[in-house]
Amino acid sequence: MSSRDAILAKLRAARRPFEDAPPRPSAYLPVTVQDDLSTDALIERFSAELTRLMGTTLVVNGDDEARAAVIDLLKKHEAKRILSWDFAHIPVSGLKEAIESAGIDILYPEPYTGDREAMLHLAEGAQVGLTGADAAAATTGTLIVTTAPGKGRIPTILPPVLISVISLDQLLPRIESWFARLREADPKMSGITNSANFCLITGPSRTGDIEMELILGVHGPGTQYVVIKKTEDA
Amino acid sequence: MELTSNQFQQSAHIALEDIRLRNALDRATGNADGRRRQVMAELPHAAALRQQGRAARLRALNELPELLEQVEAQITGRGGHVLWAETGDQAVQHVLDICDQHQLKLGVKSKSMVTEEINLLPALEAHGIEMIETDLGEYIVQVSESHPSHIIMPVMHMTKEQIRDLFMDKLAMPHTNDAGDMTRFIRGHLRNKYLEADFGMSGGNFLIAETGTVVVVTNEGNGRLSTSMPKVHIAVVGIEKVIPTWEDFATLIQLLPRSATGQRLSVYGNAISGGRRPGEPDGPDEFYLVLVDNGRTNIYASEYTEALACIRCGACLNACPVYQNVGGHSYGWVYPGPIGSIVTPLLKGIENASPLPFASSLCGACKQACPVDIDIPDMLLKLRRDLQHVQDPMIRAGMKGFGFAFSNPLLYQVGGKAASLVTNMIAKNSADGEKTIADLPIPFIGNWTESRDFPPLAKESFHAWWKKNRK
Ligand code: SF4
Repeated sequence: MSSRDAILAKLRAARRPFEDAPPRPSAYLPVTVQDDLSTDALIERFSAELTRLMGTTLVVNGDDEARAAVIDLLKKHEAKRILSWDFAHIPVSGLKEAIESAGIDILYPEPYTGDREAMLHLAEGAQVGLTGADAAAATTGTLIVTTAPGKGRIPTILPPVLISVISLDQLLPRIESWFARLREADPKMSGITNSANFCLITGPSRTGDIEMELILGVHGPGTQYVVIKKTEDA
Repeated sequence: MELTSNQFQQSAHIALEDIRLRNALDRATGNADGRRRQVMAELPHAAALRQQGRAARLRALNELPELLEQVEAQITGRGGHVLWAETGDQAVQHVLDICDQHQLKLGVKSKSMVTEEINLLPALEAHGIEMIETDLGEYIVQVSESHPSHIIMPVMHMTKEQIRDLFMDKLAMPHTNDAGDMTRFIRGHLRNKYLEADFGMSGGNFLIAETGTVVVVTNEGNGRLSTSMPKVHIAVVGIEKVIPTWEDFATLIQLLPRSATGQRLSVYGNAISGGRRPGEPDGPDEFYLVLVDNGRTNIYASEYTEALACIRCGACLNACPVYQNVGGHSYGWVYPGPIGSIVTPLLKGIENASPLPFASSLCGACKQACPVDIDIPDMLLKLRRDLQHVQDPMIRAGMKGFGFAFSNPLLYQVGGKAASLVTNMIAKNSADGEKTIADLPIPFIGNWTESRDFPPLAKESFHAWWKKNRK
């Protein structure tokens, strides 16, 4: 018998251990509390949570302000080279051109094309990662990023600084809201299986391993900005 | 990791004499336990959420064989590989075979208890495969050639000065007293490893059956880097980690860090559903999931199935007056503290860990702290009962440990009134040799909502006592 069959046979031979376990609830109780679901309240909550985690939220009106905010941040961190998602997935028009004309190199990390080693070392030297997001959850200050063509993992995790721009409609109350949205779109959760990876990112990288002292930026970015873009007329 | 649980008594004695260790334990457990209480108290429905999380785990265990098949079908359906291992050795062999097949020589690894359990790293090393632990705490453990003492905070037993000296000695770190400098030094030190590694290795905090997804939770980002940069990712996961749905996940992923470190969410909840999909720019091309039994099916078929519901948050360690004083190494294997006192005898044989079921005052703090309400005291009592039926001289070691736990003045004092009441009752009953210990009532186990009001154990008075008595 294969190990697989042996393991499954042993499990099947045992009685169901918790016959009296409660059935799957039709509606789950969300973990966090957020009564006011207005956009202003969600922005406020997201910003408060991210601040508590030592991240920074910037709220801007329209593309011009968003572009200016990103350029400002890149200059502040003296970025010479950034790792970026494809700009089709970052909700700011003209951002790529603005970054280029500021004299900043844009690298799209694609370790499977060309010289892998050279590309990765070049990527490692970048000062900032720039991305959009699939969603954000207000009550925990969480960004949700899935992988897809043009949307890699490396920009979110390798550089010391991460800047992500989201549009207001991407800001959800809770992480539960995102899973509910995916469930509604497809009960089989193809929103998850269509990607190799998704990640819930909640604040900058941190450790407390040395005497429980909080230190930011261990392996992932120690500095994080989320730019929330409202529409022009909002 | 070598099993020394039967030496609990001796190890604990050494630990109890180590003032530096006791200070470190005091700070870390007190801090973590306090933060857990604080963030749980802010949830108005904490008790209901805890039952929701518990129910998710119990349903998962009910459907365990079906869910594992679902995981396999999902992952293989997308071109990933699922390998099953009945024993630790089989799991190790699977990993070695994968390394062979892809010519893997250098791996970067994120924290995982099960790899420690199956002795993976020494086996890889013996085959010339270098594996770097990338979690800062686990890296410190690796460099110091020791073992983690806590399932969440691996080097909570070490002081900053000890860590500094280790880095200066082994890694030529320039002198500093700043934890930030030390952390940045290690960041730089490990940077190239991520770029050069042939493969990434992880455990898995959850396996979501409906989509065949492994979730690796870290705060440092090492888990995401290790599973994003290299071309191959191997996840080694215990079969009990599976849960049915993402709704279940959404509850548990929040209960875990609240209980572990008092965070509302961990920084990275990294969910991997297989290898890189067409057109995706990065991430491993090859994905392997090694499903490890290694004794879990035995637990499943026993009356201790509930132990498999554990989500490894470490809250029961932090809340335990015994752990708080003797530290993780005393327990003599991978899983310390109250849950370790159950899992170690069950996985390694009760005769090989006979003192552990007695390394508890049965005060109930572990059950109250547990985010999935596992009845740890009840299982400890059942294990004590089982030990009475084992006709083996080793049982003596267990009973000696039992005597130790309650006769050592240091430990005895800690539990205070609650513990002494219980221990007196137990001592009486075991002395007359008639009643089984399992018949004893377990006081101080109330509703979880009450846990907020459960008096923290009297550390101050203990210190006062200690100061007075060491003179
Ligand atoms: S038994 Fe409960 S408290 Fe202890 S580690 Fe497991 S889940 Fe956490």
